[in-house]
Amino acid sequence: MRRWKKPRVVQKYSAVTQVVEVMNEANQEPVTITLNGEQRGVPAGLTIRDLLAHLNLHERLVVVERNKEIVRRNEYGEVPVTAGDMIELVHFVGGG
Amino acid sequence: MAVVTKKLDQLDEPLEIAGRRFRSRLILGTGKYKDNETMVKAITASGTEIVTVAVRRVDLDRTKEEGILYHLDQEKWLLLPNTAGCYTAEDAIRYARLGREAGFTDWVKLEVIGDQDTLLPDVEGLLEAARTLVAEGFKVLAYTNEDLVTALKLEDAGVATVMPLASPIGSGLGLLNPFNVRLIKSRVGVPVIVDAGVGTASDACVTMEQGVDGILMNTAIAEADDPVRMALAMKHATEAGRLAYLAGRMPRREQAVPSSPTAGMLD
Repeated sequence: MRRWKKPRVVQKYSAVTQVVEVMNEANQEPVTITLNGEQRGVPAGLTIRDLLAHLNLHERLVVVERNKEIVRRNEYGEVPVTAGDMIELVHFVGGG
Repeated sequence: MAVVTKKLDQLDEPLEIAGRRFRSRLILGTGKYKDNETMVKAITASGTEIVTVAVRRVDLDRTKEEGILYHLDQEKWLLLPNTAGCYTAEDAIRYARLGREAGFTDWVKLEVIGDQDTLLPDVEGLLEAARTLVAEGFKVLAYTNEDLVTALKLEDAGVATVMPLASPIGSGLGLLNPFNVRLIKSRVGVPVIVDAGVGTASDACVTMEQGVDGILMNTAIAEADDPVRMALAMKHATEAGRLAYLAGRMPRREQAVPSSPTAGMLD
């Protein structure tokens, strides 16, 4: 599976590679997932780790549920985000 | 303050839940505070060692502030995730699992609500969820009606504590059924912690005087005009009620008995 490259990773590549990366990204349609109850388009080929980074969320403060199954923290780098996924991102809030 | 605390240690035993010992018999919720700073101050003033938290969606638009973990030091307080807002066993189990993952703890305050207006527990769902969660290794603190038979069934299911309500959640009506709460305490072996309904310090005191092991409260402190003062009042009231229970009260009489000698009066 092709991974979506974060910009800082892309910057390390040569100019030619960068162009290829950008073209690939442009050609790949974003996939639609249901994220916390709302439909959202995200880049194709993300892992859970990429998704959290994409959303600027700290891994340790969030719990991820994918299609009603909890994703363990040590699997964030492997579990893919695929079209149609129902993903819930939860954390602790005040409560009695 | 240190002197008072030391004395209390000698006069009472620690509260033990699922093998963990606590000096405070008060558990606090963290909901409804006007800001996190007040919440932390109130929690600190209360002397509690356990605070409850809820599991909710992250706000992806970032209009609200960060999760509560930023403000609660897990070294100081045991975080007790709740399943508030769950109306089925299935939902409660789902939330409990998420809470375990978020808080690195297998303790859960189990609520399965049966009615929107009163927020009274759904006993059927509660028992079902309790059995499943106990089997999964959770330490279940079960919020329940002040009903003996349910309490006994929960104990059979293996819960760590039974938590009968004083009155409905957020009502502040105080302890409505002291007889049933005493009955539960007299028959159940696991700790009995009264959860919900306490409105002010006297309610906490009366509740502890029934001989229960502790109290869980949220709104009474969070909605007080001065939550920090009320938290301190609740600490004292909980300790006072506990000590009064341990001391053993005088009998109630339907007539007066003089406190001064009747002999030796002048002619």
